This record gives sequence, C-alpha cells and structure tokens, in this order.
Amino acid sequence: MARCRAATGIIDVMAPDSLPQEAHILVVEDDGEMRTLIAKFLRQNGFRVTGARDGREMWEVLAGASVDLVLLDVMLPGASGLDLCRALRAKSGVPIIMVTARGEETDRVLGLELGADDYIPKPFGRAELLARVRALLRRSRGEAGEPMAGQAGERILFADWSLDTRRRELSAPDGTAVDLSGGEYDLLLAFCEHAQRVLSRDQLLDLARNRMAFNGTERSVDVMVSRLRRKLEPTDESPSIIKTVRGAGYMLVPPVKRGA
Amino acid sequence: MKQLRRLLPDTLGGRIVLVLLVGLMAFHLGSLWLHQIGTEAVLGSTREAQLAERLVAAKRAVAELPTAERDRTAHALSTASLDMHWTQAPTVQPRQASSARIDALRSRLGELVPELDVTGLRLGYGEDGVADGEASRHLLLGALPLPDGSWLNFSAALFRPPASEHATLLSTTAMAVGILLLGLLVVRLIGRPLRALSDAADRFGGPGPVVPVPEEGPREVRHAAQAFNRMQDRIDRLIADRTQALAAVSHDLRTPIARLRLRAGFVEDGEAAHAIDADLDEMEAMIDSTLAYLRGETESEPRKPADLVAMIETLCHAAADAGAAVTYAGPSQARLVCSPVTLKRAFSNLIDNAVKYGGAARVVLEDKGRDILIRIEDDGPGIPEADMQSVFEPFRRLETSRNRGTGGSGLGLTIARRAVEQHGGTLVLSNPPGGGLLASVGLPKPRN
Repeated sequence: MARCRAATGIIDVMAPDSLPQEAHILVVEDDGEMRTLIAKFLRQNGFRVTGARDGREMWEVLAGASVDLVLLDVMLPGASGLDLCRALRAKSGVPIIMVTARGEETDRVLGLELGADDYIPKPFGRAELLARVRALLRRSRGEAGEPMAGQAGERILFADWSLDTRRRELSAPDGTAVDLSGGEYDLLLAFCEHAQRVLSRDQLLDLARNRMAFNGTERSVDVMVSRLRRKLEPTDESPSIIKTVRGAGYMLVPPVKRGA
Repeated sequence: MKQLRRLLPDTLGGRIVLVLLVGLMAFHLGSLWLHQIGTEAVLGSTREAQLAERLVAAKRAVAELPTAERDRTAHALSTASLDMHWTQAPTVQPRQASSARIDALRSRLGELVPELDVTGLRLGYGEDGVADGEASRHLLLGALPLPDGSWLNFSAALFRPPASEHATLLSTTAMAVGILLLGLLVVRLIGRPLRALSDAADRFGGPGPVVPVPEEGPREVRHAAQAFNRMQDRIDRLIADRTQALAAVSHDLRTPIARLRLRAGFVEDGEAAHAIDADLDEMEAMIDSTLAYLRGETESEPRKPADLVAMIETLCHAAADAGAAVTYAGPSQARLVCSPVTLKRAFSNLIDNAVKYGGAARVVLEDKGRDILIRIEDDGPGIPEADMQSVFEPFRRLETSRNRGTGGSGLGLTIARRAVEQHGGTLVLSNPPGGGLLASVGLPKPRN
C-alpha cells in the first residue's frame, strides 16, 4: 500500500528543490498501456522518459542516450527483468528500481541481490513511485556523499545487532528477528551510515527522505526515534544504542561494520 | 510366507469362511481328542475293577489248594493281561519311596473291590531301575499276601488314570473360548484395512496433506481403497484447479489495478480521484488477502525466532499513525520461534478488524511462561453468539451491522485462525461483559 496518496495528478510529496530538471528515466515494461501511463505520469512531474518494451529495446536506448535511472519490470517476455538487472549492473552503475509483483518476496530479495538499488511492488501508488524515483536520483547524485545501501546485498553490524539490507530485516544479538516499519528501517539505515556522529532532527529528516516517501516533521522524527529505541533497547539492562544529545539531536553509539 | 499368502483366499467372504472352517475344524479335532481320552479313562477304570476282582478270585482259589498245586493253578488262571504265579516269598520288595501313582492305584483297587485286602499288598513297576519318569511305566508288578504267609505274585498292564466328567466339560469349554478369541482376533486383522480406509475418509478434507490409503487386504477392500484414492485425487485436482484459477484471476487483476492507479492521477476532479484511490485500496486489500489465503494452503514459511512485541508494536503504530485509537500494553519484548510474516498477518487482520468494526483496538500481551497470550479488544457491537464459529469460514461475512459498508474480503479471520493454528495455538472470539469483541490468541512456546 502506498504510504500517502494525494488527490491530484501532480503530487507534491516534496519540492523538487535540488533535483536538476529533465532527469532521463528509462521505463522497461512490456504492457503498452502501463508503459504509456507511467511515462505520462513521470513526464507530468518533470522527467524525461523513454519507454522500452523488452531487453533488446532497453539496450538500444542505453546505447544511444545517457540514462539517469532505469525502472525495470521483473515480468518481461524473453530475458526476465532479473537477468537484465544483472547484465545491466555488470556494465554500468546506472540506478535501477525493480518493479516486482506484490508479495513475491523472492523477486525482491533476488533483485536487490543482483544489484538493483530499490524495488517497488506492483500495483504501486503514484506518490510512492514518484518518491522512490526522486529519492534514488538524489542518492545516486551522492548529495551527502553517502554510500548506496543495498548494493551487493550487505549486512550491517553494530553492537551484535545485524541489519540485512536485502531483506530489510533486523536481527537482535541472539538472532531474534525484530520487526521494523518502513520508516524505522530507513531511519536506522540513516543512523548506520552516519554512526557515532550526532545527527540533528533536520539532518535525519533529510536522510530518511532520501530513502522513501517519509513525509514527516521534526516532531515525527522524535516519535520514530523513540519507537526505534524501544525495539533496540527493550529492557533497562539493554546497552544504549541510540543516544539523545541534548539540544543537538541523536547519535548511534556503537561502531558499525559491514559484512557479507 | 509368500506361498502361505497365495493359499489365502483373496476375497473378504473367502477369508471369513476360512476362519470359520479352521475354527470349526480345530474344535472338532479337539473334541474328538477329549472324547478319546475320556473313553480311555473309562476303559482304564473298568480294567482296574476287573483286575481287582480277578485277583480276589485267584487269591481265594489259590489259598484253598495244597501248596504243591498252588503255582500250577496260579499259572492256569493267568491270561495275557494278568500273569500270576505263587511263591513262598514275595518277588516284589516293599517300596522305599512312596509314589503318588502307586498309592492312588492301591486305594482305587481297594475302593473298587472292598474284599481285596490292600493293607499287605505290595505294588511296583515292572521296569524298576529304568531312569524314565513314572508316567512312562506300563507294567505293574504286585504281590498279594495269602493267609498262610505265602504270596501270590502278579504282573499286569498299567492304564491311564481316569479323568473326571467334570474336567472334560471344562476343557471343552476352555477350548471353545480359546478358538472364539482367536477367531475374533483373526477377523479383526482381516478388517484392519477396512478400518484404515474409514480413518482415511475421516481425515480427508482436514488439515494436512492428502495421504493415499494403502491398497492392501482382501480384494473388496483393495478395490474400495483404489476407488477412494482415485476420488481423493480427483477432488484434490479439482480444488487445485479452482485455487489456481482464483489465484490467477487475483494475480492478473493487479495489472489493470496498477493502470487504474496511474489513470486516477489524470482525473481532473480531485475528489473523484481520491474516491477511485480508496476503491483501488480496497480491491488491492481483497486481492492481497485472497492470495495470502490461497498461498497458506500450499506454502509454509520457515520458522525462526522473532520478537512478537516488535511485530505488534509496528502494527499498532501504523494503525495509530493512520488515525485509529490503537494501544499496546505488555512487556517490551516476547520472543517466540514462529513464522513471522504469517503471524504478523494474523495480528494485522485482528487489529484491522477491531478498528474497522469496533472503532478502536486495545492490544494486551502476556507472557505466561509456557505460552504467550495476546488479547485484542474493541468497542464495537461484538458478534452474536450463534455466529461465533461461522465468522471463521472463508468468504463469510455477517449480515449484521458488522459489515455494513465496510467491505473486506471475508478472509481476515480465516487467515488469522489458520496462521495461529499453524503455530499450535488457538484463536477464540468472545463478547466480554463490558461490550465489544475480544479476540484471544494463545501461542504455545515450542519446548526443546
């Protein structure tokens, strides 16, 4: 389910502030209607869009023009979206969003494993599509110089906790799976990418916004942090993971390691 | 064993007739044998009486005669079964050890013919010194004292001691009962494949995979098992086809829904676009739950330890963020080895139901040591007692206030209950005294 949906065609989830206009998006989708609709919708929101029916057309477009982002459907005739994703990743670092069927966990994990940067389950809402496209474009331009998460299926380790970025799963030191909401996951990932650094509420909002349609306020950052903390530090004896720095913001206390 | 099996009749009737036949024959042979023994016993006691009488007669005759003629007369009175001769000293020595058989014979002889004075009678076996047991002795030796101190010696064939009428009756009854019990046992064995068939018929349609009935036993049962397996296959295929059709339709509906979602973005009328989005949300939720329901039939998610509290809190927070009055009370963590996605869907459905029909959800978790209890309460009208079970049926929605204009697929509770039962737990609905509806989930902790 899309996290938020506006009523009109042009959705102003966030101002296209720092985004250079006319980012070129390649939509690989075999359903003609669907391709046209996605293209029309993205154009309406200020992107340049080219459609491709299958892998062959995709390679043709890529050969002839520079592409800023590829929206790749998993279910394609001929070479599947997963195969294309792997081949594409082997050749270039262009950001890829996989479009998977909702509930097909394996497609999602496999897609991220094969080098996709994000995924979006079908059917998706307009706001969700736009937010993900914008967030990925922002990240790929490396505005904050942050590393791209999800590449090559990483596991992030901190204080014996482990965050699997392929499955978006958090495991406690004893191996127990701890459920996270989408917002909590994005927030924790932002913390992990800036471990042992104090992050202001503003910075956290920005970082989380780069991940997804996180449309919050500073107050909602506080709520989200307290929810996350409740899961990371369930008892009074639990070691402190997220520290409140009075007047400044929050900090992830333990050092972060990256593993396979 | 195989050859024995080939001799066994193939049909149920044949096998029962065989059991009957074997039983009757066993009884018949047993009776004949008992009768034989009885006859022999009667014969034996007759012989003994005869022996005693002849001994008495011979004793009297020999005692009347002068000493010179006594031995000759004794020989003249002898027959094949009773050999007698006269001597001054007895040829049989008094026995050292007393023998029950000899004593019994002595007293029986005395009983049969009281004139025979048994006090001085010496008895012994003809094969003294043979180490065999007493029962195998066949020749009886005896010495009868005459009034003048000389002895009449004799040897005679021994007979089996007579059995009483009473004992014969008892053994016949015991034999009949034994044969009856054995027959019952064998008939039960014959009926076993039939019972396996009826058990399988009872199991069919319940939880768990379809198991074919072993096709064994008599021909009729084998045929019934084959027919049953074929029927089971047909039903299974039918259900699988329907399931697949439903899954395919649900799956394929996603593409037009995805198109509609994008199209709604180009609708000028903002209110209409919003309404279309809401309708699409509902359609998507229905498809999701239908697919989840169908998936649950065929797939099972792997188990791993998970924190139930984190799971429930995520759901509560999401509902609260959407504006519903949802609260959680309980410990800050509760670990359980479970299938997290399946279980999360169950709690999600229960909380959604509470919010949709009851306007609020109060979730309480308690760790009871052996199991974990989760209660979800709402402020709605509850469910009529009569419908408490039927709400769990798939695609079932109550025709009361609970479904008016609320939509839904009618699968939420079905999926929730199945998920909980997959974990060996229970999901019970009840109307608490204070009003509202209470959904109680009990999940046992796996014991190692």
